[in-house]
Amino acid sequence: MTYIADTGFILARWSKSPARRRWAYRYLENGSLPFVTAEAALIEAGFRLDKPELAPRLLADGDYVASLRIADYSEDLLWLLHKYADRRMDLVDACIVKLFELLPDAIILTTDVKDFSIYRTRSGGRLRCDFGPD
Amino acid sequence: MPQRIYPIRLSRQDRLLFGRAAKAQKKTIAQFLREAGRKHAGNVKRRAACLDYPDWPLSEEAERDKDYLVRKFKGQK
Repeated sequence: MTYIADTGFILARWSKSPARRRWAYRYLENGSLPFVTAEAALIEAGFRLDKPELAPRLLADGDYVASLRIADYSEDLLWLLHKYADRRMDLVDACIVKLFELLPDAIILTTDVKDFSIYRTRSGGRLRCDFGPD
Repeated sequence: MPQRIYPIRLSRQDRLLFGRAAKAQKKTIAQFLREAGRKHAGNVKRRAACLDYPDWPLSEEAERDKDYLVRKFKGQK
Protein backbone atom coordinates (compact mmCIF):
# COMPACT_ATOMS: atom_id res chain seq x y z
CA MET A 1 0.00 0.00 0.00
CA THR A 2 1.24 3.48 -0.84
CA TYR A 3 0.65 6.30 1.64
CA ILE A 4 0.81 10.00 0.81
CA ALA A 5 1.81 12.04 3.84
CA ASP A 6 0.52 15.56 4.44
CA THR A 7 2.24 17.96 6.86
CA GLY A 8 -0.14 17.02 9.69
CA PHE A 9 0.93 13.38 9.50
CA ILE A 10 4.64 14.23 9.33
CA LEU A 11 4.22 16.32 12.50
CA ALA A 12 1.92 13.88 14.32
CA ARG A 13 4.92 11.94 15.66
CA TRP A 14 5.66 15.04 17.81
CA SER A 15 2.03 15.88 18.60
CA LYS A 16 0.98 16.79 22.13
CA SER A 17 -2.14 14.67 21.57
CA PRO A 18 -1.48 11.06 22.66
CA ALA A 19 -4.18 9.79 20.27
CA ARG A 20 -2.54 11.53 17.34
CA ARG A 21 0.87 10.18 18.31
CA ARG A 22 -0.53 6.65 18.51
CA TRP A 23 -2.04 7.11 15.04
CA ALA A 24 1.34 8.19 13.61
CA TYR A 25 3.23 5.42 15.44
CA ARG A 26 0.89 2.79 13.99
CA TYR A 27 2.09 3.72 10.50
CA LEU A 28 5.67 4.60 11.39
CA GLU A 29 6.35 1.36 13.26
CA ASN A 30 5.03 -0.99 10.64
CA GLY A 31 4.15 0.98 7.56
CA SER A 32 5.17 0.57 3.99
CA LEU A 33 8.12 2.90 3.94
CA PRO A 34 8.93 5.24 2.43
CA PHE A 35 5.88 7.48 2.66
CA VAL A 36 5.28 9.58 -0.41
CA THR A 37 5.09 13.33 0.06
CA ALA A 38 6.00 16.66 -1.51
CA GLU A 39 9.09 18.68 -0.63
CA ALA A 40 6.78 21.55 0.29
CA ALA A 41 5.15 19.39 3.02
CA LEU A 42 8.52 18.41 4.50
CA ILE A 43 9.72 22.01 4.47
CA GLU A 44 6.48 23.21 6.10
CA ALA A 45 6.80 20.55 8.81
CA GLY A 46 10.38 21.68 9.49
CA PHE A 47 9.25 25.30 9.85
CA ARG A 48 6.40 24.39 12.18
CA LEU A 49 8.70 22.27 14.32
CA ASP A 50 11.43 24.93 14.09
CA LYS A 51 13.87 22.28 12.87
CA PRO A 52 15.41 23.17 9.49
CA GLU A 53 17.18 19.80 9.52
CA LEU A 54 13.89 17.90 9.47
CA ALA A 55 13.33 17.67 5.69
CA PRO A 56 16.85 16.61 4.67
CA ARG A 57 17.05 14.20 7.61
CA LEU A 58 13.75 12.46 6.84
CA LEU A 59 14.76 12.15 3.18
CA ALA A 60 18.27 10.91 3.99
CA ASP A 61 16.89 8.30 6.41
CA GLY A 62 14.46 7.05 3.77
CA ASP A 63 11.28 7.57 5.81
CA TYR A 64 9.85 9.80 3.06
CA VAL A 65 10.36 10.35 -0.65
CA ALA A 66 9.59 13.71 -2.20
CA SER A 67 7.83 12.58 -5.36
CA LEU A 68 6.57 15.81 -6.86
CA ARG A 69 8.62 18.46 -8.57
CA ILE A 70 6.61 21.67 -8.66
CA ALA A 71 8.14 22.61 -12.03
CA ASP A 72 6.80 19.39 -13.60
CA TYR A 73 3.21 20.05 -12.57
CA SER A 74 3.04 23.82 -12.27
CA GLU A 75 -0.02 24.13 -14.52
CA ASP A 76 -1.99 21.51 -12.58
CA LEU A 77 -1.00 23.07 -9.27
CA LEU A 78 -2.07 26.52 -10.45
CA TRP A 79 -5.39 25.06 -11.59
CA LEU A 80 -6.01 23.53 -8.15
CA LEU A 81 -4.94 26.70 -6.30
CA HIS A 82 -7.32 28.72 -8.49
CA LYS A 83 -10.19 26.27 -8.07
CA TYR A 84 -9.92 26.29 -4.28
CA ALA A 85 -8.95 29.94 -3.88
CA ASP A 86 -12.07 30.50 -1.75
CA ARG A 87 -10.75 27.94 0.75
CA ARG A 88 -7.29 29.54 0.64
CA MET A 89 -5.75 26.26 -0.49
CA ASP A 90 -2.02 26.31 0.12
CA LEU A 91 0.71 24.87 -2.09
CA VAL A 92 1.23 21.82 0.12
CA ASP A 93 -2.45 20.85 -0.15
CA ALA A 94 -2.33 21.30 -3.93
CA CYS A 95 0.77 19.08 -4.11
CA ILE A 96 -0.92 16.37 -2.01
CA VAL A 97 -4.04 16.41 -4.22
CA LYS A 98 -1.81 16.21 -7.31
CA LEU A 99 0.12 13.28 -5.82
CA PHE A 100 -3.18 11.47 -5.29
CA GLU A 101 -4.05 12.04 -8.94
CA LEU A 102 -0.71 10.45 -9.85
CA LEU A 103 -1.13 7.59 -7.34
CA PRO A 104 -4.88 6.90 -7.33
CA ASP A 105 -4.58 3.70 -5.27
CA ALA A 106 -2.80 5.48 -2.42
CA ILE A 107 -4.24 6.66 0.90
CA ILE A 108 -3.63 10.23 2.05
CA LEU A 109 -2.56 10.56 5.70
CA THR A 110 -3.69 13.98 6.87
CA THR A 111 -5.18 15.68 9.91
CA ASP A 112 -6.89 18.38 7.84
CA VAL A 113 -10.47 17.08 7.75
CA LYS A 114 -11.98 20.49 6.97
CA ASP A 115 -10.19 20.92 3.66
CA PHE A 116 -9.44 17.40 2.47
CA SER A 117 -13.06 16.32 2.76
CA ILE A 118 -13.89 19.11 0.26
CA TYR A 119 -11.02 18.79 -2.21
CA ARG A 120 -11.53 16.69 -5.32
CA THR A 121 -9.18 15.53 -8.06
CA ARG A 122 -9.27 17.39 -11.35
CA SER A 123 -11.63 14.73 -12.74
CA GLY A 124 -13.94 15.19 -9.75
CA GLY A 125 -12.89 12.09 -7.83
CA ARG A 126 -13.01 11.93 -4.03
CA LEU A 127 -9.75 11.63 -2.14
CA ARG A 128 -9.15 8.51 -0.04
CA CYS A 129 -7.92 9.77 3.32
CA ASP A 130 -7.12 8.55 6.80
CA PHE A 131 -7.69 11.65 8.93
CA GLY A 132 -6.54 10.18 12.21
CA PRO A 133 -7.93 11.38 15.52
CA ASP A 134 -8.56 15.07 16.19
CA MET B 1 26.00 8.92 -9.25
CA PRO B 2 28.47 7.65 -6.59
CA GLN B 3 28.83 3.87 -6.52
CA ARG B 4 30.19 1.41 -4.02
CA ILE B 5 31.45 -2.08 -4.67
CA TYR B 6 30.27 -4.89 -2.38
CA PRO B 7 32.19 -8.09 -3.12
CA ILE B 8 30.11 -11.10 -2.09
CA ARG B 9 30.93 -14.78 -1.72
CA LEU B 10 28.49 -17.18 -3.36
CA SER B 11 28.28 -20.90 -2.78
CA ARG B 12 28.62 -23.06 -5.88
CA GLN B 13 24.89 -23.79 -5.78
CA ASP B 14 23.93 -20.14 -5.52
CA ARG B 15 26.32 -19.17 -8.27
CA LEU B 16 24.76 -21.77 -10.56
CA LEU B 17 21.23 -20.85 -9.51
CA PHE B 18 21.71 -17.11 -9.98
CA GLY B 19 23.84 -17.58 -13.08
CA ARG B 20 21.23 -19.71 -14.84
CA ALA B 21 18.38 -17.39 -13.87
CA ALA B 22 20.34 -14.31 -14.96
CA LYS B 23 21.28 -15.93 -18.27
CA ALA B 24 17.64 -16.84 -18.93
CA GLN B 25 16.76 -13.17 -18.51
CA LYS B 26 19.78 -12.07 -20.56
CA LYS B 27 21.29 -10.28 -17.58
CA THR B 28 24.58 -10.43 -15.75
CA ILE B 29 24.56 -11.96 -12.26
CA ALA B 30 25.22 -8.48 -10.85
CA GLN B 31 22.21 -7.00 -12.69
CA PHE B 32 20.07 -9.93 -11.59
CA LEU B 33 21.05 -9.56 -7.92
CA ARG B 34 20.60 -5.78 -7.96
CA GLU B 35 17.08 -6.07 -9.36
CA ALA B 36 16.14 -8.88 -6.97
CA GLY B 37 17.50 -6.82 -4.05
CA ARG B 38 15.49 -3.74 -5.06
CA LYS B 39 12.32 -5.77 -5.41
CA HIS B 40 12.80 -7.44 -2.05
CA ALA B 41 13.74 -4.22 -0.24
CA GLY B 42 10.49 -2.60 -1.35
CA ASN B 43 8.47 -5.27 0.47
CA VAL B 44 10.35 -5.20 3.75
CA LYS B 45 8.46 -3.54 6.58
CA ARG B 46 10.76 -1.47 8.72
CA ARG B 47 10.49 0.97 11.56
CA ALA B 48 10.73 4.63 10.58
CA ALA B 49 13.97 6.33 11.60
CA CYS B 50 12.12 9.44 12.80
CA LEU B 51 10.83 7.45 15.79
CA ASP B 52 14.39 7.67 17.12
CA TYR B 53 14.68 11.43 16.60
CA PRO B 54 14.54 13.60 19.74
CA ASP B 55 11.12 14.44 21.18
CA TRP B 56 11.21 18.01 19.89
CA PRO B 57 8.55 20.23 21.43
CA LEU B 58 5.64 21.08 19.11
CA SER B 59 3.14 23.66 20.27
CA GLU B 60 -0.52 23.06 19.61
CA GLU B 61 -0.60 26.30 17.62
CA ALA B 62 2.30 25.22 15.38
CA GLU B 63 0.64 21.86 14.81
CA ARG B 64 -2.95 22.86 14.20
CA ASP B 65 -3.19 26.47 13.07
CA LYS B 66 -3.00 26.82 9.29
CA ASP B 67 -2.07 30.50 9.58
CA TYR B 68 0.77 29.83 12.01
CA LEU B 69 3.47 30.16 9.37
CA VAL B 70 2.09 33.44 8.04
CA ARG B 71 2.15 34.90 11.54
CA LYS B 72 5.62 33.47 12.17
CA PHE B 73 7.06 35.12 9.04
CA LYS B 74 5.32 38.43 9.71
CA GLY B 75 6.66 38.38 13.27
CA GLN B 76 10.22 38.00 11.98
CA LYS B 77 10.04 41.22 9.93
